[in-house]
Amino acid sequence: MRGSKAERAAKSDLAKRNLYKFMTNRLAILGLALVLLILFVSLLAPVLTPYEPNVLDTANRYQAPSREHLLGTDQLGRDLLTRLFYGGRVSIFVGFVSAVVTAALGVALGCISGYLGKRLDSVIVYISEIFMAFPQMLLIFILVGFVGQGIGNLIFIFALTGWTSIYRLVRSRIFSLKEEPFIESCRANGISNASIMFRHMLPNTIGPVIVNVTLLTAGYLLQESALSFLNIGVPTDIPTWGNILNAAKNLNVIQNYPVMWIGPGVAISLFVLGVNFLGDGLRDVLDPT
Amino acid sequence: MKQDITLQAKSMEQDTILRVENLQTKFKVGRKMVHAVNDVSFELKKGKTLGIVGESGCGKSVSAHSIMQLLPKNGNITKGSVIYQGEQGQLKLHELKRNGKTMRNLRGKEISMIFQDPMSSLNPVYTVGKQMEENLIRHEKLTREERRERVITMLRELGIPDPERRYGEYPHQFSGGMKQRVMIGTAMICNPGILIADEPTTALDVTIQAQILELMKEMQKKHGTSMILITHNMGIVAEACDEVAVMYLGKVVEYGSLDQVFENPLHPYTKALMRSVPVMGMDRDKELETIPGATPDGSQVFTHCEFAGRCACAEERCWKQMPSVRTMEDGHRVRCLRYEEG
Amino acid sequence: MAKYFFKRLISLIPKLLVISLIIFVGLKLLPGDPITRTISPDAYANMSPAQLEDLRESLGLNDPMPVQYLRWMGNMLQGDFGYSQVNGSSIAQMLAQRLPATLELAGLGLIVATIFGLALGFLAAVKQNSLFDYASSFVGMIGVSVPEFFLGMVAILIFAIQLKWLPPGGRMAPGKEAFLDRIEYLALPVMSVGISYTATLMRFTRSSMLDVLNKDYIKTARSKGLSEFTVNLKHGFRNALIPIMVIIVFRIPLLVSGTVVVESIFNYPGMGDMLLSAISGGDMPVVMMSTFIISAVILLVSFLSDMVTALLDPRVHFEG
Repeated sequence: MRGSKAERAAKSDLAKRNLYKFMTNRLAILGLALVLLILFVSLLAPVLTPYEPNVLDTANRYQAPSREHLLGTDQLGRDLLTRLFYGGRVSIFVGFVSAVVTAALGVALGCISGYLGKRLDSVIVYISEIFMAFPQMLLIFILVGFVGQGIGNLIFIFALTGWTSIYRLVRSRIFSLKEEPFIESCRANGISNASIMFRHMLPNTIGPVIVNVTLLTAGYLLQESALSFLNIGVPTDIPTWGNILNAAKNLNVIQNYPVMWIGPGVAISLFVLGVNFLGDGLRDVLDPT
Repeated sequence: MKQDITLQAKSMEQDTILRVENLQTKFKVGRKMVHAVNDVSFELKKGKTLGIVGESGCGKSVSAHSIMQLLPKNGNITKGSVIYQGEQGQLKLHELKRNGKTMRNLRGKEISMIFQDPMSSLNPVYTVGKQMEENLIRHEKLTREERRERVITMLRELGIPDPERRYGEYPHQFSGGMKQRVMIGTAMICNPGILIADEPTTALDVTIQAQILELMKEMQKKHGTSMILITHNMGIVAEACDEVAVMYLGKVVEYGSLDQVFENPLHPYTKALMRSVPVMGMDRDKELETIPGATPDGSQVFTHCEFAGRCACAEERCWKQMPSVRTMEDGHRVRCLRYEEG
Repeated sequence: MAKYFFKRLISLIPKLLVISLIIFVGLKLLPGDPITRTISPDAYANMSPAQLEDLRESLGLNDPMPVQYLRWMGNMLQGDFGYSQVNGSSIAQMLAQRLPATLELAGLGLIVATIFGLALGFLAAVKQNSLFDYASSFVGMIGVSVPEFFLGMVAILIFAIQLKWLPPGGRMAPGKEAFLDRIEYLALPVMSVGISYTATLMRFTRSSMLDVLNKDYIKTARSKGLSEFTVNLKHGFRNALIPIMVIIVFRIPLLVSGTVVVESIFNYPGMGDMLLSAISGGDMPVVMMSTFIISAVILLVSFLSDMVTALLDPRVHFEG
């Protein structure tokens, strides 16, 4: 392990430079702050609010914002701010976990396709093209019809319908890496295929994958809230930002109780905005192409 | 400094078509200002070829772009002058607005330019004929048929076989050498007084290089064009130029006629450059020399001779003093302390 | 070019077949008596079990699957899409009622968003690092981040309820069916559908333009004395469009998804509304046939845009 000290020094130097690059990107820092703030508030919900998200209080329906209920109450008398906090937990969880599962599926298929190649590759590419011809939302509709609503089902459906973009990314990356001299030199030196794949090629795809996981989290959060808003996402008894908005889907509420839907709408928008800024910043650092 | 003043005082001679004096061009990179061209002076004589030679990054390309105001947005001429003696009289090019009407009327009509990489210099989505015609549409009033005729004549003149068919083809159907011929034709189609060629053969195969250079010389002779040839290749300079400006780090370090510079190089950098190039008939056993070190970063500010760090004959004063231009009796100019008194 | 056209057209067929096969298998996997999806419910109610069995035989429901598939495809080509499991109406009729409304909304959204996205992205790139560039980048980021339905609700609150400029929903006033009369109904939904598409396209156009403006042939164009406008438009934008066409196609499915959601806020009587009630009513044949039709439309649009790309980029169709 000679020269490992210099190696480590070079590595930490690169890390430092990347960190600097990230820190000087004001929007990325703003994004990170937004995401952390919302995450923090959601996780600390039980500490931050004295109410339960699902306890009905029919005596206090449709309350305007007050000292007791900072954002007022909904049509069943539940404290809106509390539901907003708890809703964030589920919405962010669904978005993030779906993104990670999707990425795992996409990376696995991309590696198989890109490295084992040939016939298997063209089969998987064809399948991905078919998937891309369907609008993802409609595919989700069909699948919801088959497997039913639920958080687990939703994550499963998201991953099943959303793997194509990361798959294509990893596949094309591996194809271009295969042509790189350093991979050729690995092969010339008799390094095994598996080792080339996992030790030399995969690490080179990880940056863009991380960027994509970030952006997918935002995308899935938007989709989950759209589905819940349409009443076919997360079951209505679980608070999510989309479900809170779903309750406001009539002219009466839109007109007379704007707090009920502006809160979760702004929460979704801010979180997604934050994640997008963060993703852009990460892209500059991790995927400089 | 004295020499500079006498130069400026001299009126523009009859046969000079372009005169660049003390040109300085800066780029804004982040918050830093980088000097790309620091003090460049030369004259281009009518019908002659001036070679600007130097390593990559020495500012030769930027000097050329400055003349035509084709600098990137973050680059600006900050000092000096570029005076063009056109048919309608003298024009101060450095004072013109970058994309103003006067400048644009000159570009392609009186001053044309060819770039280094013919592969990327042609727009992939238009036919070659259409791109060559653009110059004519912009600068001359011709009918469609006349334009087509002019372009096809030019293609033939360039030695492109089957010009009628090639007229309607796209750049990706042309080889690199053919593309560079097309670029030369595009630049020459309005018969400009000045042609600036920025490393026109660097991106081409060696066998094609000679053909292209030959073609350029031929075209120049035929149309009486004055040419600025930018290159890092001393061989090309010897082959095609009448006068030579050797640049190092944004400054002209030596300037003179081909004979003056090649027969009697004064600056240590020029000497080193000459020794690093193979010459016909040279001793086989003699190894080519290299110039030690690399060109310093352009943002560095010097208070002494820029070349001192790489110079074989650097003395103590070279590390203390900035050399200024000295003109020899035969008009040969050099920027080196060894030729200054005291 | 003609060769390329036919080649692309023919390549659509296997894709359509695979999609239809998936839909077919999906339909077969559905629980319940498949005969209810091939004849109208009134007829079904008036038949005895023996009659039904005869019918099953005569309709070929006992035939092998490949035969059934071919017959199903044949029926579809004749405009017979089967029946809804819930209210027994003909799916073809339902689609004929709903599809035009959705195509109108999605199509207008696409056109408006494409025009705005391209124009704003072009300007931002040409005026790089200007106030306009920064402002449009920021607004673009917000456009990508705000969900369509929330935007739609805000639009209703402001333009329909507060300012009373536009109606809060629906597709047309009774008796006023001309396109011009419907514009006021379309304005807010089109805006909601198109905003994130506009923002995405704007971002891509900007970066694609900046990419192209760094190319050598832009310098060549300037060196010919062309005006900045000509350089940017004829040499810059024309080339920048080529990669953008891919994004335009790639994003269309998302636009359709957005349309479904937006329709539900504005009570717009399109496919979205129909799909949602079909899903909540468990009416899977309707869901799947709608999906099939929408996918087919999207394939067709992507084919058209391939053709536009080939027209824009001479390198494409010369390859064969």
